[in-house]
Amino acid sequence: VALHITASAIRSCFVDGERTFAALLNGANGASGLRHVDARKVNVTHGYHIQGNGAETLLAAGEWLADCVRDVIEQASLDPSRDRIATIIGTGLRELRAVERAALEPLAFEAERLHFAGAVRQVCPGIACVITLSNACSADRHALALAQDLVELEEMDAVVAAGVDGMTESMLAMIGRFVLSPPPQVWPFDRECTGALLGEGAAALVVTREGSHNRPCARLLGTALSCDAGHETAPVRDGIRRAIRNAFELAGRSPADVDLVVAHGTGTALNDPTEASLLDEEFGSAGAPLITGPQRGAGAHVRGGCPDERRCGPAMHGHLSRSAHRRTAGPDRRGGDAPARPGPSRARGRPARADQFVRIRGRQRRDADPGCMSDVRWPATRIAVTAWSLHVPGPPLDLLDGGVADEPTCSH
Amino acid sequence: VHRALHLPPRAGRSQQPVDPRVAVVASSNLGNVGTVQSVVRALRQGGLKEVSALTVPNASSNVLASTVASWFRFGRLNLMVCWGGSQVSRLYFSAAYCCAPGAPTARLSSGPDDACAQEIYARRAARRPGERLRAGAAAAVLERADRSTDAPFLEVEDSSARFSQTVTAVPIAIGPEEHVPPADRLIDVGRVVGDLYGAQGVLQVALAASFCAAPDPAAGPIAVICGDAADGWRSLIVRARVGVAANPRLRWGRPYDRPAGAPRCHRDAAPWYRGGEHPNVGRVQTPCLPRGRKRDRLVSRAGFRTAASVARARGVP
Repeated sequence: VALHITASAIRSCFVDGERTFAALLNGANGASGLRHVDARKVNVTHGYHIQGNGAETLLAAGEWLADCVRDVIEQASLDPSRDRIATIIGTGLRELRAVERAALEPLAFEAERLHFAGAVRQVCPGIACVITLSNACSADRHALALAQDLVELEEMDAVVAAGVDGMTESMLAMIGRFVLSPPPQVWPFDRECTGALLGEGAAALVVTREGSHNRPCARLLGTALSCDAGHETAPVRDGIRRAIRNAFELAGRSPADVDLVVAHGTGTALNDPTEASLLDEEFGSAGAPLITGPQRGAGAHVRGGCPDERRCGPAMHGHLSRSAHRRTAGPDRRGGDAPARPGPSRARGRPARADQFVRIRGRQRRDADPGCMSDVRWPATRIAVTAWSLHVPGPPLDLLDGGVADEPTCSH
Repeated sequence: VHRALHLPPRAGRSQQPVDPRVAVVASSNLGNVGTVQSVVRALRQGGLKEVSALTVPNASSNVLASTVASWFRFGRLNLMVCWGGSQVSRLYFSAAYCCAPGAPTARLSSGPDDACAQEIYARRAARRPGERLRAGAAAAVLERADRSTDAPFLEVEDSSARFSQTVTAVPIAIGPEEHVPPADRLIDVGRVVGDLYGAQGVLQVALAASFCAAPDPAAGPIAVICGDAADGWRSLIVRARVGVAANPRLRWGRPYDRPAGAPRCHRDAAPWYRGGEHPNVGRVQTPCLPRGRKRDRLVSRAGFRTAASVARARGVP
């Protein structure tokens, strides 16, 4: 089933999608001094902030997300009264910044705002379904993969796949806890492995079936996900490899077909050597240009919103090719030509959970194919509950004629 | 999860290879707010040196799902959902997309009731008057119904609103009394137990499954509904197998009471890991998907697919 991406929107440190793209081409650095948090306390001095009026906005991430969702729904001409639309949001930190601030000062906000459903429904009241996934760095790609499935299986007419994150003091503390000297920016795949920073950003795109829109941006060929099940934070090579190969298999393409790879590249000693060596293995001498997002850490979710390879593929050639090959064998960022060596082992601990790989390939414009909207139903498959258990601490429960034991548990 | 897999409490971390067939879907709304706030307070009081390196990774919301996947070596999809009060739909959603043929899905949810969580919960706009947050956890192992012989099964009734007109009366209804269909027996878990918020949906489904598996199972479907005015309502129907005698292993029970000589290793206790016989699961069957490249493609994918959805996508009635 051919799927299209029919709209995209970005909010990043470079403002919007156009300017973010231009900044990537120019090699601009979006980092600035850390705001709203005492840099000395968290041992992090810089971040990739979305420009604002200087004051910290409560529930800002929801506003960025709502802006993006509103934009893409307008671009794609989606009508919730006609189309069955879902929004799947990937986020690492939700609105936990509000939770942090509430621990220190009186603030008024509703608990429902923590998971963005309210923000999305504010700009699109008729939306059928909003689901928030909180899978750390890979959350937005989980959202994109599930969006593909929902549309491909005709459960939805269109799905808005979105990613959003702000910064939290607790996550900044985690970064600061593991670096000796806070870097002023992120240098992905650099031999020094100076560490990650956080960024603010939101992005959204619309996934529909082929023919539902007369000016699609791109074609979605395949997505793949895997779970290492090895360590809560450290990457495992096999998991990444599984995702890469599965994506190629599902897309029916080979590494030689790839014009551009958008990598995770956190700048950490655990992620970058692992990711770089795997890219070397999987892409081999094909040597596709490799870039990382405009900001690293949690803000990297913004990458999901720049999928138009017709623009970025050819243009990226030669401009932003910080390839894995260069990292391991080429000149370092300071201009030297030192032999490759693994990154230092001191900066351990930054999560690098992303073991997914998404290929989005541009396609030629084609005429619209109207009338593809179908009567959407949820899957009718019966799901068996083959084991279960409950645990509710406290006094005995008596929910049904004394049928519950002193601790309500059932397992087999 | 230990209990649902019939493991002894605190059974050790699995040393087996990653099982690529089992997915983990976890839901919790307030599971890490206590950690987040404690880190911030520690920073204010003593700076970074007061922040434990072991604590800060737990500030990430996905720690629950990833920890379970790592502990039990479940290598399929790993999802952490944080979406308010409508967890029943998430349960079904995740099950439908994770239950590829021959693959169970461990589904769990957990909710705390520490002071931080209580404070945030008190901000819930759609909270019912008088209802309090309560700590709790529930787990359910889901798999395709055609693989199990006697386990109760789920059907989605209405994913977007309340129960449709097709369900006019049920023997048991589990959910807020204002929103359940007419029932002989109503179990308003929020009133009786308390509100587990992110864990409420899975807990209700686990309750319904237990009623289906009782020696005198409910005669008819059990309606489960949860949600709130802010996040929407979601509902499910849980049915016992028609014509199947109640399985004594599926009754209410106490926490694990390991008989002498019983295995401690969870892989030994749950033979479906090995693809063999299981008293309530049955032998792993050949995937009932359409043949050809499409099928191979879908089966090779790390989850997500259901036979019915695939068939519908292919236009097969």
